[in-house]
Amino acid sequence: MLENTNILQFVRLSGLPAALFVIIAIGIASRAIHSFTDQLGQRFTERRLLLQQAGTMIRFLVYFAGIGVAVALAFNLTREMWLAVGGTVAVALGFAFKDLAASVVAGLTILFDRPFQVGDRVTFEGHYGEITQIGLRSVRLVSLDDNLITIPNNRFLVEAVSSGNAGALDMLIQMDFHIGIDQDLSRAKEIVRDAITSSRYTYLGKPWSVLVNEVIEDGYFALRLRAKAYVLDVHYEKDFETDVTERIHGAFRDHAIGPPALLHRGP
Amino acid sequence: MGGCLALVLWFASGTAAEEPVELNAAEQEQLAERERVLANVRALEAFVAGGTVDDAVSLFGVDPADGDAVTMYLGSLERDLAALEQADLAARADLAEERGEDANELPLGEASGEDGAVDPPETEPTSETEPTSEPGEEPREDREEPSAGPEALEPPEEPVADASTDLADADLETLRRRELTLQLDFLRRPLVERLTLLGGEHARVAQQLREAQALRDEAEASRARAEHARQQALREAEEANDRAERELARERARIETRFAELADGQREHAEEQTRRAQEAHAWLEATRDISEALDSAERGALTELRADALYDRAEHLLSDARAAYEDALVELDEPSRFPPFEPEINPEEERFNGRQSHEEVRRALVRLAEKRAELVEEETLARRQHVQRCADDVHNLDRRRIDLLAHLSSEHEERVMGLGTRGARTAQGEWHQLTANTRWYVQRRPREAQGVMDWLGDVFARGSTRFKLIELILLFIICAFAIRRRDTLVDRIREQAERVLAIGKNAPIWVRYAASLSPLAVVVTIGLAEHWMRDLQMADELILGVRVLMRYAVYRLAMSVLVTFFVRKDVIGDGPTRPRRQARIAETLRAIGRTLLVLSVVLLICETLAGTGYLYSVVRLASWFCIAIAGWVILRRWRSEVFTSYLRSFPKGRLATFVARGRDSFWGALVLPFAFCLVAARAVVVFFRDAFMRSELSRRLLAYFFRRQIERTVEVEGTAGPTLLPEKVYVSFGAHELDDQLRVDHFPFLDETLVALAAWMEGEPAVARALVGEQGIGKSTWMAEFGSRVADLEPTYAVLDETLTTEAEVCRFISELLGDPIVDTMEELVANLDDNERRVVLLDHCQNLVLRAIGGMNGLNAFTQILRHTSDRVFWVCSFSRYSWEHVRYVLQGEDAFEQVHVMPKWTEGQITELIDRRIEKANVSVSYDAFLTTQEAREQERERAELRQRFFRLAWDNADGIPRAALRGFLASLARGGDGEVRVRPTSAADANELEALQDQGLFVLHAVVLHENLSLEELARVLPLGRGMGHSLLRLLCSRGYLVSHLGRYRVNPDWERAVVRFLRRKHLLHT
Repeated sequence: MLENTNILQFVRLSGLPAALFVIIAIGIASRAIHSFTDQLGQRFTERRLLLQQAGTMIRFLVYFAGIGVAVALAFNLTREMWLAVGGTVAVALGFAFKDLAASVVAGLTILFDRPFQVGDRVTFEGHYGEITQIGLRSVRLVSLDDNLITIPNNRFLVEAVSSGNAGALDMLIQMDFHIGIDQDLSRAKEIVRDAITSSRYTYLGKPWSVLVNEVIEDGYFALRLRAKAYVLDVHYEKDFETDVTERIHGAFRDHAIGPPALLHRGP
Repeated sequence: MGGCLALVLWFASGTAAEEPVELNAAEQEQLAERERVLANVRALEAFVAGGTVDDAVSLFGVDPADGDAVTMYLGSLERDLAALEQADLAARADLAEERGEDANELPLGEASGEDGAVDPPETEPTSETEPTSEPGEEPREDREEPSAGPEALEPPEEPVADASTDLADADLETLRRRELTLQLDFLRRPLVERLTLLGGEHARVAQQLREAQALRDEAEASRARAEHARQQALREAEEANDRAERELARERARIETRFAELADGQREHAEEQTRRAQEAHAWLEATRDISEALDSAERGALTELRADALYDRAEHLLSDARAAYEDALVELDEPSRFPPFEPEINPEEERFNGRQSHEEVRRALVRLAEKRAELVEEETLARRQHVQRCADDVHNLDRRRIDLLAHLSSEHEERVMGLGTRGARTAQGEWHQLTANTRWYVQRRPREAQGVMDWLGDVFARGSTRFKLIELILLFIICAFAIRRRDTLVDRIREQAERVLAIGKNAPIWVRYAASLSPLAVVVTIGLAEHWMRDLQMADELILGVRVLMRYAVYRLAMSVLVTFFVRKDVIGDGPTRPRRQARIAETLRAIGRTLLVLSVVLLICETLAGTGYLYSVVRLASWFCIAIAGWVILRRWRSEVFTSYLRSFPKGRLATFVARGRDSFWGALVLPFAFCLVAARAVVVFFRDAFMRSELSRRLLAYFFRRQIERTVEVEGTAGPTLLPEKVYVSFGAHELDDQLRVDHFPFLDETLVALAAWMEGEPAVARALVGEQGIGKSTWMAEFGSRVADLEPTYAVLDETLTTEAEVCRFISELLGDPIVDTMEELVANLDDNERRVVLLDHCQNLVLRAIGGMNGLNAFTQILRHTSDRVFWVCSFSRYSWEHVRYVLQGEDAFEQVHVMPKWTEGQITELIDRRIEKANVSVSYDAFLTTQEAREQERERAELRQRFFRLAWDNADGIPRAALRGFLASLARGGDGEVRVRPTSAADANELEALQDQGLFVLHAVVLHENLSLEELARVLPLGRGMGHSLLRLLCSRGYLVSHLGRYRVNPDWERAVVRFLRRKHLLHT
């Protein structure tokens, strides 16, 4: 009974409503920051990823500061007690919520190590999509078919993750086109070049390239034209691919450049 | 009674937690007394156990170093202890009587009602602890052999730890008895032993006393020996058989008498040493409170009142110390107390040969001379040490006195540092000290200089300083090396800095101040040397020399930087008189620098010699006078320039009247300083303003603030609709053929191109040139200017106003342009051109050779092929819009479409201002900016109006992003018709890029395509995006209806009013790359 009294004496009843208010405020502030940086990012597209990254950092700060304030309001702790209780709670929570704690720590690691940032297009364990949020516990990723995928932060510490744009707004897109091995390669290459450089989605700040390989495609000998160019905004990734593909196929048709097919050599 | 009280107190304290007991005043006082005594006992026991003492006087109740005071105090302590023991005995007797036991069998302290109380230590009287029975007699302090160290103080027999444990429970009487016993135990020891145990400075004094005692003992022994020998010699003289033997014996007796006299002198010397040691200790005690007060002053605990009192005391002590110092210096020159011995006989005479005492006398004479020499040397050394101690005492106390000056009340400080009697006394004292120091220095330094090599050897031998000295020597070697090869080193540093800091090699600030790196390196080196020398205990002269050197190095550095700064074109202006002004400024700066250098060195020497006291303040005051005089002389040299500058800067005002009248008059010198101050202040303001305005970012910031101001005005007052301006305004602000009145001399790369053209005319191969720039930057104007410069070559100028995307189209266009037969192939065209004469072709709007679509580069490819094949016959200059050219660069990826590409820079604020000014001048109207002036007073201020006009031009420059055509349009749009044939500037807001946010992606890409190509038809747009015609048409209509685009002859362009807003918006959306 005495022990219970001793524990309860650290709880500041009068501070509990204020602590509750702070926790609610943290939630609201977090959402507001997220929404604000999103809107700002849409307005200043060129700085969108930077703004989102800044928003993530600010939200982390808000989380930690808010939780600290809430604890300070709810509990009447001296400095020594802070240390003692903090240590005890940390150990207890560490054991009880090992994965959660690992995720929080991993979240901080992601923030500072920056293997990817909010707005990046990443591939992780077969999932591909855009990072929309880096939270305390998990990372949210929206796949191209608009599925929301939640991945605990600690997974990123042990698995390889690839980021397509690494914090930049533009991203390299690679597209393959195949033509028959007997077709006009130089014309086809010119068409591919013109298509990727003249697309409305092409970013002019970084170089393009068209590479040619001979491959076997579905049992046919073929020439593969691999086009590489940067899309001006990762949001236009698929639009860019579509636009380029449409134009190339149209141009191939106009110039009678056919797909891979079985060759019938004459005698 | 006391025991009962203690019991009560103990009980009270023990049960306080459960039952609070209220104590009356007497009980509280007693409790406090007990706490005090308990603390004292604990401190005493800690000292006995080998600890240190902070405040010996409060611990022992008397200064242990004061022999007389200790003797008197001992009696008092013994009486107190006896009274306490009596009381205890009586109490024990009472207790025994109650119990029916023998009082002597009761344990000590039981009478106080305390079991296991602390027993007093067994203080068996020993030879050392026995008290002196006669009051006033020092207890054997100068008779006993002192103990070796702190361990000589034997702790009481009972274990200290146990006693300490029990102390907390002991009653007041017991504690008091314990305290007295411990105090007595210590104070009964001899003085030397006490001082040794107290440690620190006391130990040093104790050592001196011991040495003096040893000297005294030796003197006594010597005297006894000499007396014995003299008696022996006298006896031998009486018993001698002949005269020579008798004379020899008497001489021996005289010699022994002199030995006895030397022993007396030695004893006197020892006593003098003792006295001086005691004086040193007394001095230490006398000045201790001053040092402690200064320490407490750092914590803010020294009041002005106390500081005043301490200062007076310090001055008083200092007066005595200076007198003693002078006496000691006089004593140095006094004859020795050991005079030479004059023998009455000459023992070398033949008549003494073979006598029994002959050899003894000779040996005695030699011994006497040696002894005397030894004593004289010892005496001289002691005298010199005494002078040195006096000098140190005076120096240290004087330093503290000067430190105290900062804490004095203002009245007191005025008294002691003022011009009154007290101040004169202070100055006199410092002067005497200075002269005494000088006398001592003259005597001391030559002797010390003899030991320089020993000192150096010693420095290298000492581990603590050896490395410092080696570092110092290395530093000087590096410094010497660096100075010898400074040019190479500076170049290397520059290269590294350019690489690391990404500073351009020809960055003005870098090139300008690179010459200052060498003096800066010297300053750093001397600074490091000065820092390292602190630990080496170098001679004062050397330290002073380094500090003077440091000042000289700083002077050189300052001169280097200042001269570089002040001879800059933007600081002193340009013109034919610039070299002469540069030379005069440099000369003036050097004069100022040298004056300050000399004065600072004088102040430094004064500070070193006399501290920062009265004399220093006098010298400082004199320095200010010197500075004033030097300033006056320099100002007189610049009188004419100062007056001219003043009248130019402040043409009106009362001072301006005086300046104008006095510039040629003798009394003009009176207003000169005031005029100079105002001119200098204005120069500083103008310099910083210009420096601020030199940055494009700051100008943009100012333009932003002004824009916000206008926007607020528009929000409040609304925008006035456009009004019809006088026709001449439209004419002058429209597109023009250049005439001398409108020409703004801003044609970058023009001279370069003309030189290339001249070379081509001489037969060198030509290179195709592209002129790239944003719409409205002045490409066409540039071409017109180029055409006018080469009018004798009859250049061909053409505008490519429709898109050409095939080889045939390009060939037809060029054939037609050059007046050749129309052909469709490049080969035919080239063949035709080869037959023609040389010609210059200026082709504008070449962006129409490019379409951002599949096959859209064919036109440009064909054109560049034609250029390459015709470059020996045709000098081509082509213009491209900037964004179209970016696309070309992107597609070609390093392939050069044109060998020479000139990107037209944006115009500066000054050029835009000049452009608008010339247009206004051409229109011959006056422009009023009064709409932005808020008050009538402001409207009357010419300066306000000029500033407002400048702000407006800056805004026009910022809105137009440095594009002249956009600036002219923006300025024209802000004009409205005023009265009396004038036009006024009205508050309008520029097109807002935020409005474009409402556009969907398709509209955005249409805008992007139009900006990139500068102009597009519907068909071309459909091919570029690609879009269906219907969709393209509807999008173009939408954009035209919103005013973003305009259509002319089936081609769409960005509305010039919206052009900058659209460009900014597309950049923000990452669509335009620059």
